Amino acid sequence: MEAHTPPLFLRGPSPFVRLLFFGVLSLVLMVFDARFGYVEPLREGLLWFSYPLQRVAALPGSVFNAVSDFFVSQSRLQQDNSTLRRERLRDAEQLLTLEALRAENRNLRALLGAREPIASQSLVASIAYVGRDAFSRKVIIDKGSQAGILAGHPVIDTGGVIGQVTRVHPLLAEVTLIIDKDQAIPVRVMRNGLRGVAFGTGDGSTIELRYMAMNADIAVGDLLVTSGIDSVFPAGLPVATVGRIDRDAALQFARVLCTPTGEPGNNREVLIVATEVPDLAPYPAEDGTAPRAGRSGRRGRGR
Amino acid sequence: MATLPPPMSYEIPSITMESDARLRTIWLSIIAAFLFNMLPWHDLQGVPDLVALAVLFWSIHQPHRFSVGSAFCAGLLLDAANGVLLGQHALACSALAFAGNELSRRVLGFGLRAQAFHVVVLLLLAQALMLAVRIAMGGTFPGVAWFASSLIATLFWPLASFAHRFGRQVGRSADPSN
Repeated sequence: MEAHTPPLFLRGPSPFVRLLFFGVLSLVLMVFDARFGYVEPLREGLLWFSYPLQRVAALPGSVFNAVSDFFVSQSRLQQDNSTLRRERLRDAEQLLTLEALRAENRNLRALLGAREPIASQSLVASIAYVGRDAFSRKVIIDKGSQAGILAGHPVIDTGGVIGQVTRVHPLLAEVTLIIDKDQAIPVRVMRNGLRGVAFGTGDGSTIELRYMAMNADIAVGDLLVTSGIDSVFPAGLPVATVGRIDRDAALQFARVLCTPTGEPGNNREVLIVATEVPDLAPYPAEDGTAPRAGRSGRRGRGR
Repeated sequence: MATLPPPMSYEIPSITMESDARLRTIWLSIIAAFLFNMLPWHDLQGVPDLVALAVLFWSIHQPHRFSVGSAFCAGLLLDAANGVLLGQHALACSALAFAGNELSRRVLGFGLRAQAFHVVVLLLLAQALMLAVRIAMGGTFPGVAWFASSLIATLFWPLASFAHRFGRQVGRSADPSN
């Protein structure tokens, strides 16, 4: 009979001990991730597990798209076609002048001895899925370092800048949208060249131009474009329009809320502008000796 | 002693304890929940976190098969896939599994409606835990509507229970030794 006695108490450590162990492990991981970034290899490894799942999860949507594309009606196609043709004609004029303007700009810059603007190529990617996190605004796109994407590349849509690549894996890349609370983008006011830095507010639809003096020459409706001063974003891409300005005398700065011109998080296809992410000057060490290596990989990292 | 009948295996009332589900079933359901979570949602507002629900479900129904460690792994994978702070969902899932294991007997003694009340409270607490961690790390409060996903996830609890019961019946009729 003894031989049949089930092992009543051989269940390993008690649930509370397990909770304690794994809870502390999670906390340690979080601190290492947030403060030091030591856990990237682990994340990389885990992604190899989740990547096939993501591909499978994307299947229904892509099959549906393929089927609906196949059964699209002829009238709809004709309509799309004529719209596109009209748009192309309208853009053609601007494109023709653009080439001339580019050449002229190059000559003028050469005359002034100014640096060449950042050369860039662009790359179309589609959004694979939206990062499941209420505290940050991230999307995952379906191209990664194998397609030549690097951390730091700007991401645009037809309206303007929508974000920046913040983490790259071989087959996927994470894009932090400009509406993310920790994402910053250097901009200037198109009308008068006033420079500033815009930060996401985290409310999901607006960005905020911070550190603007009370009497700064900025008005509702002004277009903000990238200033290019960071050598990461090419200059002149539209970012947002100023939507509201609060000049509260109790505060030190004016509160400038802007609406992005692009539609962050509302697209299926985005364009990655593959600029050359520059190696920044070495970060000055605190004691003034032995500078650390460039930190370009961590620029604009948002969470 | 010799007159005693040999020890017989008898059906334990399903209220207190269930026959062990196969590990394969458990992990397949977790993977299915993962697939649901990773569908290309247009807007995540109110989309239930089915992985958390699956973790809670198995930790309540199979406390000896599914415990804190497995929940931690599931949560960690969720973190990596979504590019969030590594450990955020892992912590929440571990806590959920612990609560599920501890409350397993109690919750299974109730009917489906009362079970759902337990589930919604536990899911909301797990979300509150994530909120606390993220605010401690410098996040902002995403709004009360964020908690709606737990309420919606609770609606999946009866479905999961029915599927589980159905699966066990099918498994029992297919397997003559049971």
